[in-house]
Amino acid sequence: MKMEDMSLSGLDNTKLEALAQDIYSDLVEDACLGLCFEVHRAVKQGYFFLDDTDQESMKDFEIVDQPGVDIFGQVYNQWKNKECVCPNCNRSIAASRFAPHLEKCLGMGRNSSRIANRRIASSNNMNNKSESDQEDNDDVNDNDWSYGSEKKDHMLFSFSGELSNSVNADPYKYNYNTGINYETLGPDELRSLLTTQCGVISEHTKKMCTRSQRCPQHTDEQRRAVRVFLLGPSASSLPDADTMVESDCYDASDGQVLMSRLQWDGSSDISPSDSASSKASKRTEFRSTFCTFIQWRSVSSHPLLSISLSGTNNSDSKKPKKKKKMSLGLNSTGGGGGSGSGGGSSSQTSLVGLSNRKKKPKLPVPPAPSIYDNLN
Amino acid sequence: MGERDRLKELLRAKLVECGWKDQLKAHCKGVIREKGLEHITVEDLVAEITPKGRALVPDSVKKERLSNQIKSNQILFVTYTWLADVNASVAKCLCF
Repeated sequence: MKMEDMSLSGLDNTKLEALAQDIYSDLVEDACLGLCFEVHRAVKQGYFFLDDTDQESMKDFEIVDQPGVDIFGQVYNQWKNKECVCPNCNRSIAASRFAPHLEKCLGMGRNSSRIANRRIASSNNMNNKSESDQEDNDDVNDNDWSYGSEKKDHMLFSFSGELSNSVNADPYKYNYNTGINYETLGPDELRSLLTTQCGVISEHTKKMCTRSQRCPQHTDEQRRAVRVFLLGPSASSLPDADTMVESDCYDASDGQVLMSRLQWDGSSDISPSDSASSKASKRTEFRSTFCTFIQWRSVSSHPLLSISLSGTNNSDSKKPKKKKKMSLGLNSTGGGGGSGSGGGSSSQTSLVGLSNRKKKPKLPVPPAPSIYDNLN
Repeated sequence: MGERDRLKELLRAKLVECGWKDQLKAHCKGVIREKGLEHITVEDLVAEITPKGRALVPDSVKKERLSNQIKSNQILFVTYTWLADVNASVAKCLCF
């Protein structure tokens, strides 16, 4: 009741303002009091002065306001230009590219195996077309090393077998880039090498050509000659002359080896000028070999003509040494005469193949074994 | 009655916002350092700080408060007078 009476009379503005003023001061006092209680409690509890730190640490954490630097004083792109050395391949790599490089380098990331497999596939296709046909297919699947697949010098880790496919094979002295030194390889290695690669021995470096069987720098003639030279007359044949059966080693091989050596020497002059090998040189070379083949055939039927054969062949040979060898060889083979099993001399078979291909396509294959029968 | 509390909260928020509270707190620190940390009492603090606090309130806040209060004058008036009556009655009882 009393309140209502009061409310009616309190509508006067001045009074209202006075009242408002009172209320206001009341509120402010309450606020101050609240603050006092808060501070007093903080002091008594001991946490009042915790906000303050000493001047030295205040300086450490001051806000930095320099250009090019953030408020903590750190530079933004400080690590952009730094370079790290890869522990695997010891190359200097940019910091931002380091992680992906390491992934590829170690062969451990998601994409690294894919890329490696693709690279293997492409290099295998380039080099080894006939490898799948060979008996050395097992060797190809071995992942320690395979021919013609490693192009870079650094080692690849292989956590799973299918990742890396070759290691720099020091024991074999295999150097992909410059060719193979045939002297250091054993006969088995040579054979497997020659079945997959060109193998023609270059005159300047004495190394074997590591390109494919179809390499444009060397002719098939050269390849055959090299094979005969390195592996002897019982060497495995080129893919062309598949018809000839590979039989046991041909014992009376001196003459033929020497013969093949002569042919190889004759053709060796051509190999340095591989890219510029003219048709004329090829023709002369072929003619010489063809002549020898024809002469061999004649020898089989006429043993007495061996001497004449040596005579004619002397014109082809360029060094005096070879004449002696030639005659010796021919005599021995002529003396061999008679019966004998079919010698699997690859030089002759490839000769047959060559002549088959180039000048006398109608030359029948069956006579070839008969020649060797007579020679033996 | 709730209105008063509402106003009180509003005022408090305003004072913190304008920095009044921090100012006063710094003043408190000074007082405490003078008096010594161990021997400070609430009464001392109140006596020191209240007048200063009243003076430090910025004018803008003061005016806003006053206008707000005038707007809700009737309720306030009722509250205040009721409070005043309570105080008076309490005082009377005490004197008794």
